[in-house]
Amino acid sequence: MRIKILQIFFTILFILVGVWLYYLQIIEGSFYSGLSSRNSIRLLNITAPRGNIYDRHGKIIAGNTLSFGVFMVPQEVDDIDAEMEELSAILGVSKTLLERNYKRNRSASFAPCELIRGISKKTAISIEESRFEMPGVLVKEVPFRNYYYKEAFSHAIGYIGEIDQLELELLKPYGYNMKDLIGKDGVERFCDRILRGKNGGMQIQVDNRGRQVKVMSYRKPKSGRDVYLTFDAGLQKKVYNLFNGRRGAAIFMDPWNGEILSLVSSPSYDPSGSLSYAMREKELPLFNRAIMGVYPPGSIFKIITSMAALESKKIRPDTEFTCAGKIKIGKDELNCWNRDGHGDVDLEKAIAWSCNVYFCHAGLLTGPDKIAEYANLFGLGKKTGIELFGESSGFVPSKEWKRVEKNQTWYPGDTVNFSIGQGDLMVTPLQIARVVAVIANSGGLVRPHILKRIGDADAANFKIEPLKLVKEDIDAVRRGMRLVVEAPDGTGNRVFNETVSVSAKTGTVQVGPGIMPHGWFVGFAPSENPKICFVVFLENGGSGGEEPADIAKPALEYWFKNNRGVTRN
Amino acid sequence: MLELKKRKYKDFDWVLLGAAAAIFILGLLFLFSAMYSKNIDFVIRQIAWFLIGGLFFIAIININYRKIISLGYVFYFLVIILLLFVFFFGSKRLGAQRWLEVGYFNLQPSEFAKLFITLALIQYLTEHKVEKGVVNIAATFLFMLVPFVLIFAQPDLGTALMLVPVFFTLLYIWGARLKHLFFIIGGGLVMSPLGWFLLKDYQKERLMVFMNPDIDPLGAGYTVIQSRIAIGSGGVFGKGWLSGTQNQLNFLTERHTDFIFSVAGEEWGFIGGIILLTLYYVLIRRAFEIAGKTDDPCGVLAACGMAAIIGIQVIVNISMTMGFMPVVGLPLPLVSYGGSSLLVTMIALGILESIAIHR
Repeated sequence: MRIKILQIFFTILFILVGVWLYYLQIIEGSFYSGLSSRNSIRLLNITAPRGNIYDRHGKIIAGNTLSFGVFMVPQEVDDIDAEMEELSAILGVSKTLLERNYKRNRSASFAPCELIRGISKKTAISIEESRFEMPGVLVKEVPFRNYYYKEAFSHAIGYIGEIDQLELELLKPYGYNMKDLIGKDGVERFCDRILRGKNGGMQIQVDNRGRQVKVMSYRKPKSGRDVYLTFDAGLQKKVYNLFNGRRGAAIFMDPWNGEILSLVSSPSYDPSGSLSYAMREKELPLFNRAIMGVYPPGSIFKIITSMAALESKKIRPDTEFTCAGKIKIGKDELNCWNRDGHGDVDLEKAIAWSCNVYFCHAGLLTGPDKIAEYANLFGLGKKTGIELFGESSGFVPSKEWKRVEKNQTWYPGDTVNFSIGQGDLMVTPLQIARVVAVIANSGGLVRPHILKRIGDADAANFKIEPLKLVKEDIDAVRRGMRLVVEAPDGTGNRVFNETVSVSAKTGTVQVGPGIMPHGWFVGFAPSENPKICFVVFLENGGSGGEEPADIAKPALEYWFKNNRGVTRN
Repeated sequence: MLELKKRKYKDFDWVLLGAAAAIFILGLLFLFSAMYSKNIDFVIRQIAWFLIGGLFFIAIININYRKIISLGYVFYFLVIILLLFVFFFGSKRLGAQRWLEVGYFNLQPSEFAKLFITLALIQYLTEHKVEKGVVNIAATFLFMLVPFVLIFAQPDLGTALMLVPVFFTLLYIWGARLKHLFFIIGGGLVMSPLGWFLLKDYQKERLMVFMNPDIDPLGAGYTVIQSRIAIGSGGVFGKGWLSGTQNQLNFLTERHTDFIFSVAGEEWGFIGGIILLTLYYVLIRRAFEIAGKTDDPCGVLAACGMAAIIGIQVIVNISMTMGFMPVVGLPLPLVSYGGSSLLVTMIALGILESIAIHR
């Protein structure tokens, strides 16, 4: 009896399974057929070639070169272990690395999966030769981003890398996908959507062995557009080499329109090398000192102090102060760098000799509010808006700021420090390039930029912002800056050039007792009708008129040589 | 002599053997289709195991099943020792420690445990066929507990859980009072939430995924979803042998072992599925008929026990490939690739035939 009951119980279970089968295959059958046929359609991504990056003369800075990569088609492989072993022997890389790449890159059994790239032509040939022993292994050409100037351009151009989780989330709506290569910094990042083009793709129907039956649709990849920059690649390379690994930054710019000819931050890193290495370096090679670094301007700020004093009619170009080598302000004493004193100095001489005592008087007469007003007017304390990431704003102090933020009174000593570019004032080298350009072009604030042309279309033309300064005032400062170089005892006499007249201003920033000061050397050339303005900054580089000037001089000479028509006047 | 031999085998159940042989041959076709693009060694090894199983089958039908049952305790201790071996020396695969490497072979002791523990239970219940008290039920309960815990620890949830219905089947056939059985079932249901804490993370995950496979379509739910798509897309007639896209495009994982029914369903369709199911049904039904024709309580218990071992695995396995049951690792008898499972099933068939002959 119990056997019968048990038998009936099992019969019911079998019938239930049969009914489920009927439900799944007959009733829901077409639904699942749909799902299954979708499983036999494959999407194959075709990467669009990335656009090239050129300098202003059409010299290539970043482009694609073909290199060889080894791929494996999973479905055609017989004995993956043995083939990995053999490949590892031919390539001379570890088997675990190949296996890890295989695991990471494998997408479908019919899709070639990248094992390694960047192998030599010789290795590629020897793999091709033993292909019959390794079914499923193939060598393909893969585009490889080549940075022709290596370290020299990395801060401006950036580099590319695989898209990360955060970027993917942000950029998914713009058609970015997993494993896409994406610009990580500089122009590569800023112009990524221009450079990357549009990936193509194929919809392939495959049979039960994963072989291609037919191409259902094909979309041609659209190459990325080329980008032309305002840079002069030759100058960039020259300037970078002149730094010779010392910490600092330099900017060479067209003072009339803000086109950057060269923007160097040193030390730098190899854009196609290992960045984790660069990240650990003590000297911070990834840090773009030209736009991210903030430093006290020191004596180069005297340009602004002069302009503020002249414009507010507190001094005239011929106003003289006497320098006795030091000056007493309240309880403190300020030394001029020349302890013997400069004697009676007017504005031109004060600039040429960088006389602290003169600017101390001028600054006290003008007052901190006016100086701050002009500092802001010349673009300090705010970002320049260059097409690079991570720009700093710098900082311009004021009476209000000191009262509110530090809860302290503004003393005349603060005004004196402010006038000679010390104290709380902080600037980036790029902001100073802009200040120099105002003097060079006689009163217009430019917007520094590096994009010149995208494909055939000119990049946006940035308007000069007239600052409505009195021409005579600017001319007075220019005369002073010319003397810096041309007076035999000018602080920047070292850059004196027989053929082209250079105007400049030096700056030496005390950073603490016993520590080498920071050095600035800024200016423009030719002195009349300038074509180029420049900023050279060396961290702990000593006196501005020495090492920084030694970088500026050969760079300028290089540029003069390549831009005929620039002559002495 | 010949006359005698003929008489002896006159009760041999040809239908049972025929159904089993048909299932095995269909199984080879499924296995070939599942593996031919990769490695057909599996098919050859399966045939080799079948031949070894055949020797056991022939040996067993010539032995009186009572003798085999009387060795139940021996098998029981053997299995405990094997399980302990696995516990300490077993090799790990897919996060579970289930295999023992013996020379060229990999033994899966939990497969043998299914059969041997059942045999031991049958011996005990046969020896205590007169008294049917609570004490005996408690004793069988303890009997089960030791191997159950060892198998559970491997972890092999499928085998461990399979022992439960086999246990109830035997107690029921033995003649346990229904109120006792209901008491145990009720007690088990009350205790089962505690079991949740004993499960490994991946087992919990599987149960969650069973409730809703879509929560993890690329992880734990993947196998079930793709298996379901494969079977469902097979439709009435299937996509044809060697032509299942799900199967051949590697969408089906574990398709040569626990999920082989998804290959069958995809390529042979509803017709093929029903034929296979019917063959299994015939096999189970013949087992119950053998039990029905036997007067000896030992034979009845043994026949029903074997029927339960095979039947439960078939039902659970097919249901799980269709996504109607949580994924627990149980093979499809005679079809799934695996020497231990095949051998055990053929021994069970041999015992059934022995009962038919020697009752």
